[in-house]
Amino acid sequence: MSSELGPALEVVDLELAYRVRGVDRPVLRGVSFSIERGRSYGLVGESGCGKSTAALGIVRYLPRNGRVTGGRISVGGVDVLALGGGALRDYHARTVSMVYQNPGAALNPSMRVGDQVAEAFTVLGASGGDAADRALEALRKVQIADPGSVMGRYPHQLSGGMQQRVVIAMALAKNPDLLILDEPTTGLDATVEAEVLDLVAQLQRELDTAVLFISHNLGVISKMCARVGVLYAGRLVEEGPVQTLLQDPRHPYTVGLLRCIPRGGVRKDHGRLDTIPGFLPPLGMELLGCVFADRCTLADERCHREEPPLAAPAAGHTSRCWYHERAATLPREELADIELPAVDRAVAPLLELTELSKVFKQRGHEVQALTDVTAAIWPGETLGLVGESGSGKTTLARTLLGIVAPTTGTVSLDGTPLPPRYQKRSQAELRALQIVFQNPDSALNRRHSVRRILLRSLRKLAGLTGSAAEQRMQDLASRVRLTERTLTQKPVQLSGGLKQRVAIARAFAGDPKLVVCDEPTSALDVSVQAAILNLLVELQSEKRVAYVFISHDLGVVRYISDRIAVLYLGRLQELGPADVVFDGPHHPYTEALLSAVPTVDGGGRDRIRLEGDVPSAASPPSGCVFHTRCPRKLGAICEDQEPPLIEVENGHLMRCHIPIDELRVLQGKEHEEPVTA
Amino acid sequence: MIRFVLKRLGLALITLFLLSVVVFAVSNILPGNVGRSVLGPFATQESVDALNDQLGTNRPLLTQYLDWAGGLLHGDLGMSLQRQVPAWDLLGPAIVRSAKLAVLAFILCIPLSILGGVIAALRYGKPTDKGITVAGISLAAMPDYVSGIILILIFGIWLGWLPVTAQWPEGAGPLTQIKYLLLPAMTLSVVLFGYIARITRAGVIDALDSDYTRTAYLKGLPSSVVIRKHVLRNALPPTIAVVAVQIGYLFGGLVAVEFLFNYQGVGLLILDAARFNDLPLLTAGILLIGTVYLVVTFLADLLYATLNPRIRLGGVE
Amino acid sequence: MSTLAAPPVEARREARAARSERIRLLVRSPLVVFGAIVVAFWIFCALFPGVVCPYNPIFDNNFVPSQPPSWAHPFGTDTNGRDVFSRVLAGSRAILQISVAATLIGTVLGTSLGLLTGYLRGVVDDVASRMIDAILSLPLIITAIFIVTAVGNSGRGVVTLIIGLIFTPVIARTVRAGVLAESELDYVQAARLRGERSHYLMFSEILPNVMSLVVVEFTVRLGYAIFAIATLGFLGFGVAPPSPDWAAQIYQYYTLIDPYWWMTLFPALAIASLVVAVNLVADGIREAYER
Repeated sequence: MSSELGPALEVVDLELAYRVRGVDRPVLRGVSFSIERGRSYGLVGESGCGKSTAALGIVRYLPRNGRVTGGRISVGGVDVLALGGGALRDYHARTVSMVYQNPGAALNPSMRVGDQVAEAFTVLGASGGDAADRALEALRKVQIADPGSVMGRYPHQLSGGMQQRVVIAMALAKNPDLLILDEPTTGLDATVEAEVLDLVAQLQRELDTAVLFISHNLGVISKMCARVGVLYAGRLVEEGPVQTLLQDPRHPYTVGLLRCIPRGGVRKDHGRLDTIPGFLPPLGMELLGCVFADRCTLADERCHREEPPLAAPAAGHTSRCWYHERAATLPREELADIELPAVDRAVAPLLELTELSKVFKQRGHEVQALTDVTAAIWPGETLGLVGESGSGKTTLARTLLGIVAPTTGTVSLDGTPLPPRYQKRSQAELRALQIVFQNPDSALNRRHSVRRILLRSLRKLAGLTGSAAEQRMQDLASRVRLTERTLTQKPVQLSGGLKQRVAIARAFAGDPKLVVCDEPTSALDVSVQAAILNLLVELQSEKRVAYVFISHDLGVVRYISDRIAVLYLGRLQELGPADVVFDGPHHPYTEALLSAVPTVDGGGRDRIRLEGDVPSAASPPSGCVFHTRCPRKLGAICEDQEPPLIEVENGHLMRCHIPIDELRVLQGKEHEEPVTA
Repeated sequence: MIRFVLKRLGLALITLFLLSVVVFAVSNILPGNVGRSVLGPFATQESVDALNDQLGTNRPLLTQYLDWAGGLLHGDLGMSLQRQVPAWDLLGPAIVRSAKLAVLAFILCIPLSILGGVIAALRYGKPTDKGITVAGISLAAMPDYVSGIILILIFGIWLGWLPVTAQWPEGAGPLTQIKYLLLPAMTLSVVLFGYIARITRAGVIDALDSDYTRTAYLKGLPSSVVIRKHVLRNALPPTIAVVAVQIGYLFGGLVAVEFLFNYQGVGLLILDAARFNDLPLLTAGILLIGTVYLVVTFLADLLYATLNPRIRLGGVE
Repeated sequence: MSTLAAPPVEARREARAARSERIRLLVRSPLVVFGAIVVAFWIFCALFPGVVCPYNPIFDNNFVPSQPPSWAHPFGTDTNGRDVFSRVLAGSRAILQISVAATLIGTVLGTSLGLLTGYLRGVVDDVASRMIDAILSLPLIITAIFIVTAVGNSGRGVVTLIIGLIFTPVIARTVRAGVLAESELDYVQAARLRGERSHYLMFSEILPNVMSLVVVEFTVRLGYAIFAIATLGFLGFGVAPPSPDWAAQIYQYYTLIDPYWWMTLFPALAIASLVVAVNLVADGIREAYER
């Protein structure tokens, strides 16, 4: 499609603003980068950095009140900003494509999939029949089995992974010069995400398309892109080849960001996660000097006064910092390492789950959400729960808390069985088991002040009123680092991180023995996430509280968990110490899951591809439920017999027909010592 | 889909049953009243009692209800006390007349309202949109007879184009009937425009905001195609469903308009029944209106289900 | 990302600012301001008829009856020799009184009912919802006529009460939907998990979050109440001659519309103006809360 040599995308000094109440608020400030033909470029940043806005600017689909206030964008040599009318439509039809989050919403619900894909061809001039044929081909190319039947379906009849493939098919139908992907796999299961990313990488190679990949996830970017640009508050603060940036970052923000992410098997007892002090600037705020100066521990007076120029520590590697040579020496927050006493397994367990099963009735089908889950949690330990959709981890958490009553099985606290529903539990039992939710926006009552929320919790959970309550509230507040001012505010005035702190304080009001953390940092930015994780670890060390920690982010789970439980289709597949489960030898599913998740450390693991989607919990496969996708399936035994959950090593349980020693060989760990501790 | 249809049907029937109970209960707030209200305050107590006996209003309520409900299921709507004819003989033709008016009103207003709503949404925030929205709010808010009076004055009296009452001479052909019905129909259309235009507008705005519209636009499709195949195709079915519901409401809401134009529709009949304390006719009429509404709502649900692939075909396989 | 919405500006304002933000939004809309002025005008007339009316609206002033509009009588005179202009100005009181009272009754009862059914769910909710559906299958006017007849009294107080009662299920339904949505949110679950009782959850946790919904409902229903009362008045219910009620005036004189159009038109326009004004304000409030 391209007629001239030169970069596929060239953005020069782009300035973009949103008009809010008559005032232009800058969202992108002088952003410049380019992507060569057939290369991939990642744009990474946290919320409010403007990365999605940049993408919208490039495709010319800004909201009503957004406008480009300066700079140039050219795609394939064509000045995109000057296009209008027919030329603009042509640009969309031939040159550029975009794929977003939430593929289900991106497809027209009233139109058959085949017709929608065919539209991408008819707009290029193909006839009806021809377009249909090409649509079929396109679906085949994105590895959809049986594309013929998929063509005739409606979007809601497809799974999330399939929907995204269809969107990708539409996007690549025109063989564009530039493909933009904006968080395309957020919301998809890890194994499905890996498939989609592999597909994109493969297609990119085949079609030689330039790719702009936008994400907040450095792991994904490092896997998919050759070069990366880091956006902060609308400014491109650092740019360069991915590996260089990760190993030798030259901007304090990048340095800080990398330090926030739990990497390389670091665990909570080894060291604290570093955090970036301060808050992300709100979208559209006017900033003097370096955009990062307020939060930079290297910053001096000059940084606050003058915007640093673009420096180039190496060819192709730029940084916007006065002190980029010293960036790696960014002073850490003076945080002492935490003293975490080892979990004493000689005492009785705090919580015992005995053969928990839960069957839901849904439209006449029986959905087995949990089957025979047996586990124990000791005081002060963190049990990480890992699994994809349909694994049952949410159901397990709710059963624990009594929100849902198990069909069979019991939950015992300190040896005493708990009433299955929370309404029947005593106040003491209620205060012992608390929860921190995923979404801080809905977890707090919008109409109550923080003060009121905490005082009420203290009253109900700790039985305190009056000055005693007041005193404890001050303690709690300072423990989670809330200021006096925050106490008087309502949740809507707080940032996500602050809200989550309040939620944590609330859960701890009654000195619980166990707190269920249901994806507590998934809705937060990376820099905020680190602070919350640190807080949870501190509280654990201080109060010897146990956690059941649910997260889809394996790095985080590994960091904070003592032991990890892997769930698949409601069944416990593996349970063991965090290091053992992660390093192996481990269950084939765990193996595949770990290989699917892209990490910043990257490399090392061969991708283990799992075919297809997770089977429906309404009709689980016979025998070992994983056998339909297991790359290490033995044979008929896996189809007929469900393997029992047995202790294969000390403290390490697994549900697999393959003996552990054989797994050790197969997974290439034969040189490691079996676990004895 | 079948399951959806059956479920809706079941709900409609239950609601109908409950309606009959409610109607019966209300009409018997003051039991024994019937005899008194028919004969008037000056009749003797014995004659009142005698009449009550004859009408059976002294029996236990449950028996009365079962009798009445049973009669309904057989198509017997009771007897008008005032005119001493079966209620159905009066209600039947009245419903037909109201239906004519309603249908004419709809034909007049629907195309314009939907068009207005779509245009307003496409020109969101601009003067055209503001104009249509304000017109919509104002027209929907005004009581129908107020618009009616203004229309009567303009078209009936000052311009003299249309007849002021909707009573056409015996045996008039359809065209003449339409001429007589035009003013009341226009009155109704004015109000309906307000509702329908605004609902359409809201639906189209939602569709314009959606991700799939963005996908369509970014494919490079011409805007006419985007609007037709992507925006309207998703925005209109819910609108149609709502519009259909309005039809149901219309039947009884016609009261004021029928009164103003002296049109012998079901609304006016009910009003008369009320004036004369003709409870049997009144309850029969009310139940009938409720039934019409439920039937229309059910059909509207059916229509919506057909247009919405999610319901028509079911979920993920 | 929505194409028509602006990106969220960082929510770090004081609560005061958030509220004044809404008021500012309202004030900026010329339509809302216009509506508010008209409503204020009619309220003033209702409260101080003595100040605005040039002549006594109720008693015969022995003017020449049935005179078309003139300088002395801008809206003409009616068949009883009364100045129509004064009658129109004084007529706002009745309709405002009834509609506000009825809407208040409906809102209070409806909110309570909605709260109970939305929170308690179960059998109570199912039955109540079905009943509400049944009642709502009838148009408001028809139901009102029906109840008035059954009760046998068509006085003003009765009509007020009846309209209020009919509004109850309507408002209950909206409140119920809001309560259902709120109940799904995590903070309610968190409250349950610390052992809060039902009444605390309903009134201290959920109700404050539903209040904005209630306010919007009130203003919207108010417009509808005026509509309904005007219509009922026109049909002859809830009027008390010789009160200068607008609908009553139309009821009296609409048969004489030709040639005495002024006796009907001006009250009709008065109704139109009030109803439209209230709806404009209600719409503005609704939009302000939806942001």
